[in-house]
Amino acid sequence: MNTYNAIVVGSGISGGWAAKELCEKGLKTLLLERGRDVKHVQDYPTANLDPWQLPNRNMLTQEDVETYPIQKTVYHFGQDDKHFFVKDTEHPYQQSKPFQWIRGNQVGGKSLLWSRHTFRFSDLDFEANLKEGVGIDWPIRYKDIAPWYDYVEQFIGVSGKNEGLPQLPDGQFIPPFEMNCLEKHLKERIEKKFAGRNLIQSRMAVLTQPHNGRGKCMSRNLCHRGCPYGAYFSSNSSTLPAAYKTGNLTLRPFSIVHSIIWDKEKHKATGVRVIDAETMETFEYFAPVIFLNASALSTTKIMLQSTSETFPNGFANSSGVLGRYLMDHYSGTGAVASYDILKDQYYFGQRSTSTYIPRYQNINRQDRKFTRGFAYEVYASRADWGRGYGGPGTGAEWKDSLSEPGSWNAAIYAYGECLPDQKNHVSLDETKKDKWGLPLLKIDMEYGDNEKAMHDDMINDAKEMLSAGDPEWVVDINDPSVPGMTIHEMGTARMGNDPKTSVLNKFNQCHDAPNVFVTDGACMVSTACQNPSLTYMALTARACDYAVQQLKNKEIK
Amino acid sequence: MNRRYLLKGMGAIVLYSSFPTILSEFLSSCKTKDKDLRAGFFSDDEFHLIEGITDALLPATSTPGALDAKVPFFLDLVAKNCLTKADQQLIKKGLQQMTEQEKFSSLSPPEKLNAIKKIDEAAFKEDAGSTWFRIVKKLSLIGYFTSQEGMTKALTYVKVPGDYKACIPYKQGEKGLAKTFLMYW
Repeated sequence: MNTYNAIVVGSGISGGWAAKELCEKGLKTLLLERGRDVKHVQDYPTANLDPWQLPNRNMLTQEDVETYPIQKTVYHFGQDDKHFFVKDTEHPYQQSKPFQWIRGNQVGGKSLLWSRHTFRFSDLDFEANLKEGVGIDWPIRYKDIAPWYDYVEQFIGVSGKNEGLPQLPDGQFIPPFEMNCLEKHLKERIEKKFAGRNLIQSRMAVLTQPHNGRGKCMSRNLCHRGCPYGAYFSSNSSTLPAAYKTGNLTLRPFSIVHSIIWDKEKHKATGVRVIDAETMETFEYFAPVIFLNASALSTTKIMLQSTSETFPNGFANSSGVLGRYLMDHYSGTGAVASYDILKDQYYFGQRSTSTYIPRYQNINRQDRKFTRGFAYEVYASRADWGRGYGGPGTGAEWKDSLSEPGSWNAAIYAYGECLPDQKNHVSLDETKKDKWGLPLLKIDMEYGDNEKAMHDDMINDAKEMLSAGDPEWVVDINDPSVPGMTIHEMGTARMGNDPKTSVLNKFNQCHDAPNVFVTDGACMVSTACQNPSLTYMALTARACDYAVQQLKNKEIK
Repeated sequence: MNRRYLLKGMGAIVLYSSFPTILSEFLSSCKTKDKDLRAGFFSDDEFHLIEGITDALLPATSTPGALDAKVPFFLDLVAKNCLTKADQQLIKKGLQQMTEQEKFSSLSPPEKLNAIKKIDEAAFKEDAGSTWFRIVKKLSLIGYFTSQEGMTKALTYVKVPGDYKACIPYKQGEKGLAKTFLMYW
């Protein structure tokens, strides 16, 4: 039988949520994933390996470098997790300008690999486009999404603390990880010296206590290998088991969605065409409601591939904005400092969570030469033996000194909002095909003036805050990100109130095709400077609730 | 710690300096097993140089040394698998220089340490001729501190720490936590 109550395309962070919600609401749901299945725990082959058991002690071979030239640039890409990334050689795309497209084509997608930061957007973010006349207005406000943030946080488990900051709304948190001594020192100094700036524990989907049947964090800092305790949120550890439990889920891995099937007579989408990634056979699956959660650019690619008489320029694209307004956070800037204090203090365990300086620029008034702003992730620890290859030293005494922890260091990394710009877009290159006969995606994006205008402030502010802690030295981090490299690609099928300027309505429903929903990063109207995954999850849960109501009311059939 | 292995290595080098023609026979008789473990990037002579360098860099102290942790084997492996052609050539050239100019193999252990110190200092003064040494040094540290010997004896390796403790007292001399998130920037 190829007919279901719902089809979800993609099993990553938002697709897992769509599958869970729709299954729990009683819909027989088909979950299509283009990659292989990854079962929680049993398919984390490196999770329990000791460092010396990893090939080349986790260093990449020259063959890896040739196979994964793009994916290898991710900060944790190694022998211990390369199996969770696509081989660039098998998954080509076109870069009109440099764009690093990071992909994890497997069940769970990049939810296995994410950095786990879970921050809410606020009305400062939802109202900014309207106030400034940039892009289009978000069709929702904080009050629309707040209950869904609550709902998602309660299920996934977010360690964090309520701080009462209007630009970073509080939430439903389990206890945070404690700050280490240098972080506490910096917090005190920064908050004393700079009014309006705060150093807080990052809110992260990492468990400090057992939660919904998952175990708490064991402080190994090896999340990217897949967690055998289920201590960080992923589709594999959380939403998919919940979906399976209902008995309503059918997972079909190795299923590349070619296009959405459009019935001209009924004027509705009826299903999807699928290519089996292994056998190349094609199949059709049908359902009254379809959720696209293939990841921002892959969802848009499917829509661009879904042409018909009604939609000659891509599915539900009467507005002509499908593929446009691609965004990614501007990063790669900040500072590092070293401190000759707290030598009698240490920590035990490797914490996988960071601390955070929420955005403080342009909050109550325009106080910078750019609009919007940036936030910082802050990491503090004592230097390990890696300091040994940064300078001269040989022999017994030097070697023994490297067995001891070195100075306390802190690194702070900025993440800046990226404004929507219609020039930044993706399209299909019909002249080049992948091995499944599908056109390649062509990506054309560069950062604009506003992102570049943040650059110097990101570095200078970082240095001035680290300096408040009286370091021995401070140096710049000045390695500006190539678009895509923050792996927060957003937009290309944006929400909006006006069908003439947007693809999706306020419930992530295609204006032109009410039974098709897009709830991954493609839907974003602006980026804020916070990590976006929590917002995708909340929008997904909200859209599922709405879709099921619409089905019940026979508004979609 | 495997002192026997260490002494055997030193013996071979002494022999080499006095009776070079006997060397290959001597080596093939006592090192066949070890040779099977080698990846084959370094020639026998180069491998012995690498043994000398890593031993001078990271000698056995109260904790095992580079030779106990089989660091030369690690260098042989990753030099073959992981380095670019350009870096591979740099290292080969550097080792050749050590043989021809420094006559490294014929030096006494203290002289070796001095020679290594000199190269090390030059390498961090951005002396282009010593860049190869920075690569060897980095790989030696990786090889040592991610080995079972290095991680469990020269550092504190706790496979499953459990509860994170954010602030605890530290006394000088106590070993640091072994790094498990293995990226080598």
